[in-house]
Amino acid sequence: MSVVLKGVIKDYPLGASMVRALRGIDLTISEGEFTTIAGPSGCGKSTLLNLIGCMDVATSGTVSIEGKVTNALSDKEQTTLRLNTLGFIFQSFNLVPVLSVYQNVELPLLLQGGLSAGERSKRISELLEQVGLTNKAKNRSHELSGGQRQRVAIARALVTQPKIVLADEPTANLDSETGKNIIELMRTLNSKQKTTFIFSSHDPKVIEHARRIVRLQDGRVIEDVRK
Amino acid sequence: MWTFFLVALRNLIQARRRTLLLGSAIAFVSLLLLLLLSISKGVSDRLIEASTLTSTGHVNVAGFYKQRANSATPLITDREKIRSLVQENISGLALVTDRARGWGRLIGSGGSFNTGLNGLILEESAFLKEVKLAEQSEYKKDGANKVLGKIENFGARNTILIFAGQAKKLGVDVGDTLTFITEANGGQANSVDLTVAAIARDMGFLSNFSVFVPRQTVLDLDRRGSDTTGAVWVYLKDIRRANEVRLQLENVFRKAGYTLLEHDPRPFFIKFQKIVGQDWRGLRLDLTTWDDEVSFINWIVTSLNGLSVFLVIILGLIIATGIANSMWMTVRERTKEIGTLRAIGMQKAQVRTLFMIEAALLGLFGALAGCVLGLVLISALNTAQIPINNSGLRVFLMTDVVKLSLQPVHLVGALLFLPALTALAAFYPSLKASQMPPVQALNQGK
Ligand SMILES: Nc1ncnc2c1ncn2[C@@H]1O[C@H](COP(=O)(O)OP(=O)(O)OP(=O)(O)O)[C@@H](O)[C@H]1O
Ligand SMILES: [Mg+2]
Repeated sequence: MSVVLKGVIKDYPLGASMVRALRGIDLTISEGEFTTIAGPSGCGKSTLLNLIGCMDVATSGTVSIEGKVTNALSDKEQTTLRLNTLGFIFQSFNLVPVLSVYQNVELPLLLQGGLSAGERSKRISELLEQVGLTNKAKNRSHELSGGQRQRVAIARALVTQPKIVLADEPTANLDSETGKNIIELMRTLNSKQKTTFIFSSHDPKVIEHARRIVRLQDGRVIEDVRK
Repeated sequence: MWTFFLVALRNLIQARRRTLLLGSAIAFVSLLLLLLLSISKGVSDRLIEASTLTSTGHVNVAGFYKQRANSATPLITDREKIRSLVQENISGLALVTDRARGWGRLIGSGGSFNTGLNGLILEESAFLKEVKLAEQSEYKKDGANKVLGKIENFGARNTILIFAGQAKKLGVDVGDTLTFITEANGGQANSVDLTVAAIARDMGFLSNFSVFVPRQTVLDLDRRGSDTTGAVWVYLKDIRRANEVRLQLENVFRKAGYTLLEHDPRPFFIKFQKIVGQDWRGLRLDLTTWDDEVSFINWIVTSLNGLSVFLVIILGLIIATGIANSMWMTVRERTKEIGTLRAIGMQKAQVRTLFMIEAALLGLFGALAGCVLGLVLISALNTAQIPINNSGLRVFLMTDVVKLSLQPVHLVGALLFLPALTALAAFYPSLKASQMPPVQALNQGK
């Protein structure tokens, strides 16, 4: 099992009181699944992805990644887990502006260490080819369109060959045609490797591409369907 | 690591205006730092130069002779033997000479003062080779811009060489006659008339303390034997060995049967009273180094250094504040980037390093620019030979033209100190950047 959530509750402090963003989530996602977390704004999608992504800690309940309970990990261990096991794709792409496309994709490998320059170059070239950006390797992110930037971000998320890729509204900043292409690209990469993809969206056109749809409302799972 | 440098460098280029502004400030501080250091070093170099020409060797074998209690003469016997003991036992010698010493009052037509009398051995005197003569206008109101005497005229029987400041006080010119009266211990005063052969340019502070006559004049004045002298002066090829050689010589003279005074790092004229009060008879040797002899004016160098340190601390604080501020801005602007980097697996410590490298690079570039400017400016100042007209300043700076000594170690120091300072100043903002929770950092940028 790739991701297992048991009785996950998440409260946020809001002034003197608390906002309960997640009200007891039980969810299991298997290796290689292509899952959407769907639901209206404020239902808790981002909160859920952040907990799976070891970016935040649940108020109660447990989150396990690849069989490891992440609640009790130190910041350093969580960071290492993010580096080696998880890949992140963001709504607004979040490329490092001063680095080229190639250097952005290379960054996680450099943080990992271990690969020679030649091995890195081979892996990055392959990925850039798969996302169709071979000829943009030397460009900076401001020279790219939104769709192209998101493809760089996908390459960056996949370069370490993570077990799980998390994407919070990856198409929200793209027009629907480009958004569709991005989801299709993710789908292709998902079926080629056995990488687990979990992405959130509230766009019905995007959601229909998913193999499994987990619907949230008010911090609860109200529907879980597989196609 | 290379990527960290690249990211830091490119971010500096990105924030061009801020980088230029802060970089120039750092460059200015490093320039000032170099200037201060080279002025300080310049003054202490000039001090060594002037003192080892006029008033001390690198190592001195001097001493006191006590004929009875309550008296002391700064005089040593066995001059020949002491000189050859030095020659035979010390390596790396540049020159061994000696100076006869007298003390008394010098009287001219316009004034008088008490002074030490230096009896030079002409052919052994580095001072006579190096000394620059003053133009008449330097010591006489409405005087000509012309040197009157000749250094070759000095050396004949009963000639004297004085400094411009002294000539002014005495109201004399080249060719005039002065009278020197000793204050002999027995109450009987000896005196001699001396012809001013040449008037030298002031050499700062030290030119107040001595006048120069041929050795024989001093011996005649006090009716001393030719095997006596004031002090044997030892010049080394490397002045840094001075203290080591002093210690060697202590052993040499002890073995040769001399009694030595306990080392007292002060000039001989300050020790005089102390010796007078002591209860022994005969000759005791007193070995000193050049810095013992000029210790009484070391405060000039010390206070210059103190002033430099003070200025550098103030400027350093200003720079550090500027850097810290700028880093806060950078961190705020790049909050989302920090969140992203943390999300994709950058450790806290690495985030810290990233920002500190950025600050250190800024410091390095600023320091480099400052060093280049400093090198150009200092060599230009030295080449220009700018005269120092203020006599007060001349006294402190020990020179009549602007002369700065820039050492390679100063450059290296500036190039290390400033980046270290800027990196340190960036530490706290970097720490805060690394401690931001990744989710919050990511959301703030939205
Ligand atoms: N840092 C926070 N502090 C306080 N409340 C928060 C915080 N983050 C989220 N919330 C609240 O938790 C609930 C769930 O938020 P979350 O961002 O997970 O929703 P979402 O489904 O991602 O919405 P959107 O589609 O708008 O991104 C919301 O009511 C939100 O106001
Ligand atoms: Mg959200």
